[in-house]
Amino acid sequence: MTKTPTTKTISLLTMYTMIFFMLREWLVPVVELTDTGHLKLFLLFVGICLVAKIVHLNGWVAASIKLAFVLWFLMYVYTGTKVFSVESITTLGSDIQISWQALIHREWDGVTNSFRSILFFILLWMTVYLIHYWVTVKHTIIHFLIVTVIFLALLDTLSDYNAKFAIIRIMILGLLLLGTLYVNNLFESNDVERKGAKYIAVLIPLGVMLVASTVFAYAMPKKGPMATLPQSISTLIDQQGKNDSTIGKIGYVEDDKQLGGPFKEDSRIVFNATAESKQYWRVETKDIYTSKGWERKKGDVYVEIFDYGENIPLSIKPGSNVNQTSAGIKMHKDFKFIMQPYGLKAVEGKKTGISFYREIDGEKIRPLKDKKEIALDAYAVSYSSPKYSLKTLENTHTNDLKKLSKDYEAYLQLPKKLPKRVKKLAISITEDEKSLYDKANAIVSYFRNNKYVYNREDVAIPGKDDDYVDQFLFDTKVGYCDNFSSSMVVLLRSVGIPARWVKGFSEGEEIKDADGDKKEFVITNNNAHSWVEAYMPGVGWMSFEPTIGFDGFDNVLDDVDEKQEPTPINPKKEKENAKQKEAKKKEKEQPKEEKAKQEEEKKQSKKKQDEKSAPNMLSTKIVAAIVGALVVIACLLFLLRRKWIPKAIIAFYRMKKPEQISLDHAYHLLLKQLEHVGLKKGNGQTLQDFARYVDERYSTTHMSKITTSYEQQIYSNEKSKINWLELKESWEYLINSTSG
Amino acid sequence: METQEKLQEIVRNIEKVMIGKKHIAELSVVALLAQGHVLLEDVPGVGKTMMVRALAKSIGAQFKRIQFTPDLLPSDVLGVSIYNPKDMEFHFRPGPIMGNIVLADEINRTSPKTQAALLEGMEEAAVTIDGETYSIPKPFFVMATQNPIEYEGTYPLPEAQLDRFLLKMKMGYPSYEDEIEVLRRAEQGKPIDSLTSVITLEELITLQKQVKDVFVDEVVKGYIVDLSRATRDSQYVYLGVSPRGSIALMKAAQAYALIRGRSFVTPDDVQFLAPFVFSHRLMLRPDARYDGVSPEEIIGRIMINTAVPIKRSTNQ
Repeated sequence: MTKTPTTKTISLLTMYTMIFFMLREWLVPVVELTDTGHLKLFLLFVGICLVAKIVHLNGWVAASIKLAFVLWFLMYVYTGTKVFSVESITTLGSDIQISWQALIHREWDGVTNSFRSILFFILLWMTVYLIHYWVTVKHTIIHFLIVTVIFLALLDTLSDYNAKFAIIRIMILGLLLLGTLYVNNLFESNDVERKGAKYIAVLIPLGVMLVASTVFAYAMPKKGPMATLPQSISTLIDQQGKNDSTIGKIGYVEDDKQLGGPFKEDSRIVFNATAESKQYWRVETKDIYTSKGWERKKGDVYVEIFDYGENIPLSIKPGSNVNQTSAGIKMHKDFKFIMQPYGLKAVEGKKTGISFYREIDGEKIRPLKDKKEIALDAYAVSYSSPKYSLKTLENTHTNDLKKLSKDYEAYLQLPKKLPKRVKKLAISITEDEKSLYDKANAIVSYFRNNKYVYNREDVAIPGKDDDYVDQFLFDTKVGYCDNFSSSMVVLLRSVGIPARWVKGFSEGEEIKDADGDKKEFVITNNNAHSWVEAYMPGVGWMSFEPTIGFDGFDNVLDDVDEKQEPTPINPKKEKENAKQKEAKKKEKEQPKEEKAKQEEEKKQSKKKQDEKSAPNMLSTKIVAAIVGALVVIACLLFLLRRKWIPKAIIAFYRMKKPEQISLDHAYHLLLKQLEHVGLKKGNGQTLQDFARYVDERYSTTHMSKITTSYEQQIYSNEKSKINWLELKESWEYLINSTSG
Repeated sequence: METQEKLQEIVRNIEKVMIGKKHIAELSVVALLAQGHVLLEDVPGVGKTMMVRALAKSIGAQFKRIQFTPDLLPSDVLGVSIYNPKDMEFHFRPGPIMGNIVLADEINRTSPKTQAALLEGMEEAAVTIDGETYSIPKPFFVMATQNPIEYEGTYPLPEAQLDRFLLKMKMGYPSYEDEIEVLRRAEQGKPIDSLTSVITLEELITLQKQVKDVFVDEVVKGYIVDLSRATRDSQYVYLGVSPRGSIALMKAAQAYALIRGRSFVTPDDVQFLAPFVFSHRLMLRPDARYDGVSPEEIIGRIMINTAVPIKRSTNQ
C-alpha cells in the first residue's frame, strides 16, 4: 500500500511538469508579442499554482501565497522595490483606483500596466485551475491541447512568431499527457492498483508509439502552405490600403512562377490604342519553364538604352518599310513598360528627360526618367508588321536546327522532370510534317482537334509533383491561354524547335464610332494574353497562337509558286498537300462576308462541342459525388454501427407478429449484441450467472427475467409457449442498452 | 410451490441452529432427497453433530450416533443376534445403523472391516446377520465425518468406499458476525431443543420419489457427462470420475432443482453441485500435491473450460 501513493504522486508530478511546459508555450509568444517581459516571473507564478495543486495545499494558504506573489511582482516590477514597503503599496493602490475608474468609464487606454498585470495573473490562475479540473476530474486534456494547437497555428500564420517547434513540442507533450491520463483512467476505473513496475510497463508502449510517430511525422515530406498568407495581420492591413489588389482576377501580372487556377473576369481598361488594324500587343518573353510556370534568367539583367525615335533592335524583324505605320497608345493603368506591336521600330514623340531601356533577354521595354522606371501616360509607336514568306517557311527543315548557334540553346530548355509522355506526344504530333513551320502548325491544330477546352474557371493548379503542361495535355485538357501557350512551347522544344513564351495583350474591342481614318481599340484586363514565338531557321522568330478561340496572326505571305514545287517524293502525300493548299487559297479568296459566316459557324460548333463535353463532365461529377456520398455514408454507418444496429433490430422485431418470434433467436441475438459491448458470456459460465452479471451492469432485472424464460425453453420438458409480449419490454430495453 | 416450501422449511429449520450455513443445510437436504449419504470433512467443534441432529429433528426422524473407535466391531454397528435361553432362540438386537438419520463420527478411526460393514449397509440399505437380512427403515441417511487434521492411527477410506458417498462437504468456520450470533444464542440455552419437525417421514418419502420426476434434458445430461469426462482427461488426475459419479451428480442436481422449485435441471444446478459430488471421487497425481492444487480447484477449472449448453438439443 505504501507504493501506491508514491507512484501516484510521481505520475501526478510528471503530468503537472508537462502541463507547465504546455503553459509555457502559451506564455512565451504572449510575452514576446506584447512586449510584456518578465517571462520567468510569470512562469514562476504558474509553477506556484501547479505545485499548490500537487501538494494539495489548503485553498486559503495557496491563495494567500499566490496573492503575496502577485503583490510582490507588482511592487518589484512597477515600483522597483525588492521588498514590501508601505510606499509602494500605496502607489499600487492608487494605480488600481485609476484603472478601476478608467474601466468604469470605458477608457481602455487609461488602464495602467499594473492593473493589466493583475488581470493577467487572474487569467493564469483560472487557467491553471481549469487544467487541474480537466486533469483530475475529467481525466482528459484534449480541449486544452486543441486550443493550444489552434492558438499556436494562428500565431504562426498571422504574426511574426515562429511556432514551428512549439507545435511539435505541444503535440508531443499533449499526446503524452493524453495517453498518461487515459492509462490512469483505465487503472482507476478497473480498480487496479497503480504499482510502479506495472504502471511503467503500461506506459512504455505509449512512449514507443509517441517517439516512433514523432520521428515518422518529422521525417515525412510535408505539404507546403496551402496559401501564402502575408507575413502578419499588420502587413495585410497595410497592403489592403495600398494595393489595387488583382488577386484571382485576370490581368497583366509580371510574376508567372506559378501558373494555373481559375480567373475572374476583370473588364477594367488597361489602355486605348489607335491603329490601322487590330493586332496583338507584346510586352515581354520568358524562356525558362519550371514545370509550374515561367521564369526569367537568373542573374544580372542586360539592358540597352535608347531614346525616342531610335531604332529598337528587337529579335522580331519588322516588315518592309512600305507597310510602316504608327499607333497611338493611351494608358489607363500605371504600367511601367511599353506595349509593342509586332514589327516595332521605334517609340515616337518626344518628352524631355525620358529615355528607354530594353531588357535583352525578355525584350521588355521600360521608360526611364532620372534612372527610375516610370509609367508613360501616352505614347506612339512606329512599326511595320512582319510578313513571312510561305515558300521559305515550307523549306525550313529539321536539319537546319543543327546549324543553329548556341545562343538558341536557352530556348530549348526543358525541366529535367518533364514526363516522357510529353516528348512522345510532341513527336507523334509532328512526325508526319516535313517543314518546321508545318510541325508548329500541327501542334496548333492538335489542340483544336483533340477536345481541348478553353475555360477560365475550372482550371487546375498543378500539385507538388505535377507538371503544369503535362497536367493540361493529358489530364485536364481544360485551360486558358497560359495552358495552351506553355504547352506549345514545351512541345516545340521537345522536338528541338527553339521557342519562347510571350506575354502581352490580345487585340481588344474596336470602338465603332471612332474619329479619323484610324480605328480605336479598347484593351482591358480581360485581354491579357500569352502566346508563342518559335524560331524558324532562315526566317527568324515568328509568332503562333495555339489558344482555342483566338484569331491568331495573319503574318504569312502566300508566295508558293505551284510550278516551282519540288518534285514529289511521295506523290500521294504531295497530292494531299496540294489539296490542302488549294483549300487554303480558296479560303483566302472567299469574300470576307462568307469568311465571317464560316467563322461564326466554327464558333458555334465549338460552342456545341463545349456543351457536349459539359454534360459529360457533369455526369462524371455527379457519379463521383454519388460514389463519394455512398462511401461517406458507408463509413458513417460502419462507424456508427453500435448506435443504429440495435435500433434496427428492435424495429425488425416489432414488425414481426409475436407468435412468429422465436425466443431462441431473440435471446441469441441479445447475447451477440451484449458481446459487442464487451459483455461476453464465458464458455463455462451459465446463463443465469451471466444474466446476473448483465443485470448488475445495467442495474436491472430484465436479463434474469428473459434468461429464466429461455432456460425453461431449453432445459425443461414443458416446452410451453413463451409469451413474447411479456418479455418484449425487457428484451427491447437490453437491446437498446447495447446501443452507443 | 408446495414441495419447495416444505424443503425450504427444512433448510430454514436447520438454519435456526446452524447460523450462516445455508448451503450446507441445502446440500444435506439434497443428499437426503437423493437418498444419498454425506461425508463431512472438518475439524471438531464446528457443529457437525448439531447439523445432523437438527436435520433429524426437522423431519421427525430417529437419530442415531456411532462414535467410531479403533476397537469397534462390525457387530457394534450393524447389530447382533443374541441367544435367549428363555425361549432358546437367537434374537436380533439391531445396531445403531438401524435408524433414519445416522451420524457416523470419525469414520476413519475404525478398522477397515468395520468401515466396510457400515458402507455396505449404506449401499444396500439393509444388513445381513447370520444369513438373515434386515432392511433398514426408510428414509435412511448417513452422515459420516472425518477429521482431516489427525492422521495418526487412522484408516483412510479407500477410493471405492468413498464413491458411496453422494456428497462430500466441508463445514468451515462461521464468519465473524455469525460466530457472535452463535454465542448470543448459546447464552439463551440450547436452540436445538426448541426445534420441531416440519415434515413427516411419509411426506419425505413422497418427496424422494418426486426427485426422480425432475426432468433432465439431453443437453444437461451431456453437460454432466462432459464434466465427468473432463476430469478423466485432466493432467493432475490419476483416476477421474466414474459413471457412478455422473449418476450421483445427476441425482443430486435433480434434488437440488426440486429445492429451487424447478421441475427441470439447469446447468446452474450442475455447477453448484459438481465440486461436492466430484471432489472425493478424484484420485490426484502426486504432481497435483506438489503444485498445491486441490480437487475443488481442478473441478473449478474444468467448469470454466467446459462449454455450458445454451441451445436446445438438436435431436428434439
